[in-house]
Amino acid sequence: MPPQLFSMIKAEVVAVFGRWSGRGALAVALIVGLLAVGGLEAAARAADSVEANGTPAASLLKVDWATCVAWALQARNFFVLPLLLVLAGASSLSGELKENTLREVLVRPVPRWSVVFAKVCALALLSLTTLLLTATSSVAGGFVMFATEETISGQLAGFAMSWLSDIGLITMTLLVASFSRSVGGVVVGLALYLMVDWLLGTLLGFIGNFGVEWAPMVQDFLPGTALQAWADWQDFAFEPKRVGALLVWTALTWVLATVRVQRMDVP
Amino acid sequence: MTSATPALVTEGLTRRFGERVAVDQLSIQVEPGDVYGFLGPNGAGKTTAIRCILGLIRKDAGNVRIFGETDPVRQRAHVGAMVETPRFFDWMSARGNLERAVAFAGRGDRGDIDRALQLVGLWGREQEPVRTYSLGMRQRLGIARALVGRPKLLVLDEPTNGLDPRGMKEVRDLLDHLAKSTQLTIFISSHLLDEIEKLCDRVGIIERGRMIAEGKVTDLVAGQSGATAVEVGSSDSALLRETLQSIEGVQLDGEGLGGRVRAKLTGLDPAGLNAKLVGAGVPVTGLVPVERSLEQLFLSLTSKEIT
Repeated sequence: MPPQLFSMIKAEVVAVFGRWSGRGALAVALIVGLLAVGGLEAAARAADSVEANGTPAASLLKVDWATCVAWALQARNFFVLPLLLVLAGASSLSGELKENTLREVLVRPVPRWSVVFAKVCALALLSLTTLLLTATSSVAGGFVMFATEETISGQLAGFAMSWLSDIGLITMTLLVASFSRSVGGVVVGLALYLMVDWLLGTLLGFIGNFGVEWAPMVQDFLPGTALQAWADWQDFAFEPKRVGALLVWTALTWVLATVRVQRMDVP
Repeated sequence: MTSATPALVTEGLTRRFGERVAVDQLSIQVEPGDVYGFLGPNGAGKTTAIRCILGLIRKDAGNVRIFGETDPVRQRAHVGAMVETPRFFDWMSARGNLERAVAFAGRGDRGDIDRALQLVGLWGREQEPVRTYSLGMRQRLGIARALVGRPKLLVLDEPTNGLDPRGMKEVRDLLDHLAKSTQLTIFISSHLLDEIEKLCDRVGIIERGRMIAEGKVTDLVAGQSGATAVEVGSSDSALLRETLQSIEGVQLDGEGLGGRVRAKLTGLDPAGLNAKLVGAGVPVTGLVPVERSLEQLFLSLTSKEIT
């Protein structure tokens, strides 16, 4: 292990948080938390004057602290923040390869695995900060605005599990990024892969309906399904297979990204 | 490691790209404190060789030793490098970029950064984002970055590439200062042969990935066939050429300035040639000894290789 590993991680943190993708992720994370508070408040007001099949909509909508935090968690993990994390990861490797700034690091006395390690750590810290921002703003906003009898431990567990899901997404991004010099190419490549993954998952689900026992099992181990592991946690529906799959995919993609960077010719 | 340990040794360094051999059995030895010029025409394999030396690209064969070290990570602890046009995080300040370099180098501190900035003349502008810097400033910042990890060997690949004459002069002055005022070993590849000639103790010239000449600049320039070159002018150039061709030890070598005839003399000095020409009735209007330069050596060696 290089003695300067901690300094390297600090330097990568400065780079990851300083890029527009990093700053954007922080801003969006804060906004998502506050939007969940404002959104629930607006929905509650609207529900008072709306009926659905003769039933007041207000009776269908739970307006409390836990719902607010759950909304924030789901909104955070829906699209924009994962996309910003993918952009941050792609900029960190593909962007640096394209701009030749990676070369300036690799002429230093550091093993290449430690460069990948520093990048994963910095990106994981960015993810953690966004989760804390969303969680803090939604918890604090929800506490002020809504009833607080409901427990939010499930939602907080969902936030914690989201960090693991994010790290999986980061290592997958770095693996794709090690094959591309274009940030856009990484985003498109990863999106295409997840689309194929989703289609495969749907197909396996369909096959499973016909009593094929192995189909749902394989479905649980698909990377796209594994990345959704956080969703079970907010209801305390711990699904060990999904968590296991997530850990396996995270480790595998991390190792493959490291091997790829080790063997790479850097112009 | 002893003081006699060479700063850089490559033995049989080879790199292929498919069928093409970019670096072919390249062997170099650079002694500590040397300023070594690494020359070659475009596409000769200089940058590929430098990338192999720095471990940026894999080598297919051969060895690299830097201050006796064979492990690439330990080797790079001795090296500060600038490969082609230096690249930075443009949104970051110059100081931020140097702090990043120090973090990865694992050596150096704020004082090293301050000294490097002062040395390259960027002190006072170090808080500005690099995107506001001119090409010359970036080039100087690249040299500062190469210096901040307290290297013993400075590897500079085309440090004046793309610079205007003013920028070239800035970088040349800086390298001159570094060469004279520090104990650094400098390995520099460049196209600016007259500057390499002034700056370097030893040079290596490569062509198609192979070393075709290596040695002290003075030895190489003086020892290039042992001939003296002169340019001779005459109001009767036909007679001049005819007479020159008839004199033993004279070989015509193209045309010089103002229609003068260029010739190489072997076993004959310019005064002796003048006497023979006058004796043959040639109206000599001028006879100028031509100083051999590294550029001439380079051109003659590399054109031989090309043809």
